[in-house]
Amino acid sequence: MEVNALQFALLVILAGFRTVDGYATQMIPNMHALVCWLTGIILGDPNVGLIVGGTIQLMSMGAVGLGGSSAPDYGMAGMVATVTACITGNDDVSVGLAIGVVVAMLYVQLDVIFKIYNSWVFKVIRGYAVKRDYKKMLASCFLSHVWLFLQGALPMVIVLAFGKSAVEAINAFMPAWFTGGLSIAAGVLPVTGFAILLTFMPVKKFYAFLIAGYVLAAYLNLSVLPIALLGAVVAIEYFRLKSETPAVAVAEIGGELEDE
Amino acid sequence: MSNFFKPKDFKDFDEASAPVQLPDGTYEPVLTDEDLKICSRRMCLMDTAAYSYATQNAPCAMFASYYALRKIYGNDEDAFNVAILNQLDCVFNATPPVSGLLLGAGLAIEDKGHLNGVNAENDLKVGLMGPISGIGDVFIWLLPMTIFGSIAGYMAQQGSPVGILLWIAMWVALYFWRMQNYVQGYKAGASVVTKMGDKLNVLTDAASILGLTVVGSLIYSSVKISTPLTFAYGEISLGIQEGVLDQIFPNLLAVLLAVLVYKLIKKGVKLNWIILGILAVSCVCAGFGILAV
Repeated sequence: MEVNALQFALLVILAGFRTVDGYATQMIPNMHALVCWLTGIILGDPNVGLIVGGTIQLMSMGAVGLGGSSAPDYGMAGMVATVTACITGNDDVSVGLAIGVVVAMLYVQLDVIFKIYNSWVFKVIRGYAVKRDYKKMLASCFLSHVWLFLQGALPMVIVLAFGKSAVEAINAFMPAWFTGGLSIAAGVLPVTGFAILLTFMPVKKFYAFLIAGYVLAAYLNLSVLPIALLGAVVAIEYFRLKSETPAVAVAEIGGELEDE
Repeated sequence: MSNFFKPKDFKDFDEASAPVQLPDGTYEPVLTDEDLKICSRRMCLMDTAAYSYATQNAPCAMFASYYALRKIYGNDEDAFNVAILNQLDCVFNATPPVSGLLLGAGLAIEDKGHLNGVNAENDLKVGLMGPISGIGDVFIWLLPMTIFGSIAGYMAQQGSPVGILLWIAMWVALYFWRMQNYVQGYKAGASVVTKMGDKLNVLTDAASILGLTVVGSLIYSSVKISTPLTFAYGEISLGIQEGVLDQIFPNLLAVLLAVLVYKLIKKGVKLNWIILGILAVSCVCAGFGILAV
C-alpha cells in the first residue's frame, strides 16, 4: 500500500511523541504493544500492529534502561516492523521484525549521543541561571525535548521514504535460508525478554512458581489472564500470612535484586 | 493552564514579600499543598529528559521545584540564585514517578531552613536516591512490565488489545498518584523512604510470585521453536518434536533456550550479541532444516 500525506504526518508525530514521552512525560512508557497498535490503526491494519507489537513487547521485557543506562529502543523496532509489514502488504511480519530489531540495536547509540548533547543543554541552563535570566533558563530545559522529538521523528521519515523498497530488495535478493531464519528468529526472540526479566527477579527464592506457571499453561492450557489471577491468589495469601507475622525477618530489597 | 504548572498567586521579586524569620533562626514554612502539586506536575513534564553525564537529572529537579523555591525565598533574589544553582549542581537521579517523594522531603527542609538547610537537603537527596530508586524500579518498571506488559504482549500477539487497555488503566491510576507525590514527601520527610522499605519487602515478594507465575506460563506459550526432523528406523519414522520432545515436556526446546539465555546474561554476555547469535543460529538452522516455524 501507499502511505498518504495524513498517515505520513501522523506516523512521524507518533514516532516523535513516543521518544519524548519515553524520557520526559512517561505517559505511555515502554508500552510498545500500544504504539504498534496505534501505528497499525493509522495504516489501516490494527491486527498486524497488535501481532508485531505483542512480539516486540515480549522481547523487550526487562530491557527498560534502569538507572540511566541505555537499552535497545524496542518501541522504534516495533514501529519500523509494523510500518514495513503494512506497506509491503506482507502477512509474514518476520522480515519487518528483523529490520526493526537491527534498527533498535543501532538506535541505542543515539541514546548515548543524546546524553552527551544534554551535557551541553546543562551548560546552557546553568549559564542562564548564573546570569539570572530565569525565563530563558526554564525555556532551555525544553531543548532536550526538541532533540528527542527529532530523534524519534527523523528515522521514521527515512523508514517511510525508503522502507518499502528496502524490504522489497531484501525479499527479492535474500535466499530462502535467510528469510526462513528470520521467521524462526521472530518466534524465538521473545525468550530474551523473559531471560533479562528473570535476572532481575528472585528466581532462586521462588523458582517453584515458574514451574507452576509452566504447568498451568502447558498441561491445563489456561491462557495468561486466568494464570495471572491464580498467581495473584497465591501472592495475596503470601502477603497476608507474611504481614500477620511481623517477627519474620525480611531481606533488604536491594539485596534481593542481586542474589536472585 | 497557568494554574496547572505555575501557581496563580505567583509574584515577581519586586512584588513578593520578605521571608519571615522565626526567633530560633528557622523560617516560617510557606509551601501549600497546591504549590507542591505544581512541583509534581512540572516533574511530569521533565522526568529524565535533561539527563546528562554532568549532574544527571538535576535540571529536571530544578525545573520541577522552580516556583516552590521562588515562593520560599520571596523577594530575596540573591538567596534564590544560590538555591537554584544548588539545585542544578547537586547530582540527582531517581526513578521519575517516585522521585517527587524524595524531592518533596528535600523541599520541606529548605522551606524551613532556607540556605542553612541546603546541605542537609543535598545529603538527603544523594543519600536516599539509590534506595528510593530500588523501590521505584521494582514497583514502577519491573513488576508492571512482568505482569501487565506480558499480559498485554501475549494478548496482542493473539490479536486482542484488552491487555494493552488493562495496562493503560493501571498506569493512569499511578499517574494520578504521582501528580501529588511531592505533598506526601513534604509531609513525611526523610522517614518516607525508610518506612516504605520495611513495608514493601513483603509486597515485593508477593508481586514476584505473581510475576514468576506469569513468566513461567509465557515461556511455554509465547516462545515458538520446533524441529521438523524425524527419526527413521526402516519403515517406522518418528517425528522428534511430537514423538520425543513434547513427550518429555511440552515446548521443551523453549524451556531449555530460556535457561541458556538466562545463564548467558548472568555470565555478562551483552544482549546485542545474544540477539545476533539467535539471528545467526536461526538462519543456519533454517538452511539445514533443523528448525522450522
